[in-house]
Amino acid sequence: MATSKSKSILIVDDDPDLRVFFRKLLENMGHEVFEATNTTDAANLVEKVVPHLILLDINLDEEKGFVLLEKLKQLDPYQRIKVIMVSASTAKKDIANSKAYGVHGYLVKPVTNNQLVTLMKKLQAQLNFPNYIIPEGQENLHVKAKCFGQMSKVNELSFKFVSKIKFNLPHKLECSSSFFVKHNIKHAQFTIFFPSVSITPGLYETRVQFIGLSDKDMVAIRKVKTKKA
Amino acid sequence: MAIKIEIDVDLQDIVPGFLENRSKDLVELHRAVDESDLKTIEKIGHKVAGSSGGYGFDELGKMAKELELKAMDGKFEECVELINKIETHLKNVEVVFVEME
Repeated sequence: MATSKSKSILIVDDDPDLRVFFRKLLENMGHEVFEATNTTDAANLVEKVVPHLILLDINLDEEKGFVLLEKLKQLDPYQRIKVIMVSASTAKKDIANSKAYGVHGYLVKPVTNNQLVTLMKKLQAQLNFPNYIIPEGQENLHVKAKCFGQMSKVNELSFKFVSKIKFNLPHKLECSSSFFVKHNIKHAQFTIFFPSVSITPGLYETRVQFIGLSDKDMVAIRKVKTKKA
Repeated sequence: MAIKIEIDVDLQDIVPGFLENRSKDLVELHRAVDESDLKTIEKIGHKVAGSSGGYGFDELGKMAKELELKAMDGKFEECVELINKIETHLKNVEVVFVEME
């Protein structure tokens, strides 16, 4: 489970043995690890989890890891996500290309336990995303953020939402879910009235109230198959 | 004769999976030899060269790198010799898990 000091790290490599190796070492250090075998899956994960660090292989199965660096220009325009290239290649071209993209390091395979530990110690302080200081007089600045989570319980009045976000104040939300699509629920609005409850360190449960559900929507929710006691 | 290899105890639960994958590689390598498929030999050599050292199998990593390079150079007979050498090496490997700094 992620703690406040842990970071989210995305490993992009087509070799399962390397992904297992990196995951093992990084989880031992207390980090949260995500994996992708290609740049399409990696880009989706970047958008979903916004990792602090990406360990990126250059020679993937059908493509070059540089494709992800190109996609990151759109996904992370402020270059907050650190990238370390991991490759067996010592070719000047690959190293120069990596530098040109502004990556934060280059590890040559095979990477040892000690090399990874040293790298993580060196990078630790740089992995924190910078704070945004709201300019004076703009305290009511509206911030729009996207987060992902899981619906854990639902009835016709509300649903419970488990995520890494702790809500302290009432909020209106925009929600999309395969559950709503499946049950053709289109007109609801979503509001949080009560603060989130901590379930485990770093994970919170939030009750989200439905507002404006039609009778048809409520019937659809009541019809959802539930387990018998 | 057993080849004793000391590996970090932190990796104890992932080493069996690594070795199991090498057995699968050998099956694939023998198939590639039967079909004179140097591209597959090169690919497996590249992959094993990249991961073995991290797990602590330095010697295997060196042989795999050599295999990759020989396959790239089209030296088929030398690849066959190396594959046999890798197979013998893996048969004789005896892993000892130790605390490392």
